[in-house]
Amino acid sequence: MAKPPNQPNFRILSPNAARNLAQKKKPVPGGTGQGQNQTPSAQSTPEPNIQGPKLTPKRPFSTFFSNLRQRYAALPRPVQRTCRGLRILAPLVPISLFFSEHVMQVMWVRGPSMTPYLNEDYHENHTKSDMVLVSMMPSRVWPWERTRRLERGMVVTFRSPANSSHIAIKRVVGLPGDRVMTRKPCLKESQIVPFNHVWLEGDASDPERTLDSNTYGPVSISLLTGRVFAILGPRMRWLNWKDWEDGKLDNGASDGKKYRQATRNRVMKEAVKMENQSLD
Amino acid sequence: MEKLLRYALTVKPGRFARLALNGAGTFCACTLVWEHLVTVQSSEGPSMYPTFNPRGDWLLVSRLHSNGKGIQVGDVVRFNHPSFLGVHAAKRVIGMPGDFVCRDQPLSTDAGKQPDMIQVPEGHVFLVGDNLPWSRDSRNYGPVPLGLINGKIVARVWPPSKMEWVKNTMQPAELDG
Repeated sequence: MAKPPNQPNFRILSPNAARNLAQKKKPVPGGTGQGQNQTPSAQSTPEPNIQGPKLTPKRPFSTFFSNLRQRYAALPRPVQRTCRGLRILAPLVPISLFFSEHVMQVMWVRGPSMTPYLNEDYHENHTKSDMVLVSMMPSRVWPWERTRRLERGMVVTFRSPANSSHIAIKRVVGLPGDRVMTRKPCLKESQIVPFNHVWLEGDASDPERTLDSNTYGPVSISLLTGRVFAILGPRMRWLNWKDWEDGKLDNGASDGKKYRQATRNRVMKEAVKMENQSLD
Repeated sequence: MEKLLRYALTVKPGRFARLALNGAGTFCACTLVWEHLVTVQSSEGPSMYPTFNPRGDWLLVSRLHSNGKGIQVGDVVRFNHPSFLGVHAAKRVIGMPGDFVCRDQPLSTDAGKQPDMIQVPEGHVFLVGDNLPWSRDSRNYGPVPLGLINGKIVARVWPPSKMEWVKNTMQPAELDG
């Protein structure tokens, strides 16, 4: 506590300066060096030249913040350092939440509905689940583009129409305007996929192992949340929707035949020609 | 101007990085609040006429009720339109999953005159606008999945003369016996 040399020993202090001086004399808890922990504001605020109380307009917020600053400066060093680190990390929390909601997300696939494609060996090991990477970005980047590029063969995630708290994962089989010959649980024999709807089916060959559009009909595109574009585990690979039209299965399990050709044969592409897709 | 540029040259790049990080964090936090807590939006259209002005009202939407959490019969909900991408609409919930509703003709004024009723399927709601002859709703496109609901309309905040809570007009009748 070094005093400026030209200061007299006894002086009349302004109330502010007196309070600051009193705080300086207080021992700092846990501080290593007394001199280092001095508050910067407290060192600069003593006004030795002012005789008597100074009348200043009351500014409640500035006193509040300077009070906070003094409290912070009085904290021990390690606490200060953690506070500063937390302050740097704080914006990362909303950024990461935003990222997982709007850019990409990791999800785990449960159930046998996509079995030869995802959860390959479900019949052997029922507890294993594939880890997939889901792109949450809508394919339309700009809000004035009213198209969302979906192709037959894309694997998408969507809120199940039967249970809104459940997110399902299926393959786009029919696009708007296609006529789909349905399979077993469906009551109608064929169905035209309406505007802004898609026909989603699981890859399982047994129709009883998948709950899809054959049960709840065409699904609105507004319900889709994301598109699966990679599998992270147990075997890392990228997914390409073009393989669906070619009938390729990338784990090489197809025995000469094309993969799920029967499903593709049930879809009549663009049975309804939609010339005018405007919103009227 | 020159002063500003000189000042910008003296600032260390680390401070720019901090500024960018804080700005991005603030933006993301605001977006999350807007999408998960509360939204203020203007709505136009005649379909909810006695309740909302067809010329446009600003509505307070509680996003806590998205995906149909805590929705009751009589609530006004905001939902993604099932047949147009990126379009939102506001209608009143008439039937919850499992309820039986009268299947009226689209755009007809006579409510409940049709003899046949349908049961609202699991995970769907039946939505009808207040202005029956001017509303395209579940009478046209059928029950709507709960996953399309993205909020419940709580109040009208603008114009200030008509500021009020949106009432649930379909309370069960209280008969004292």
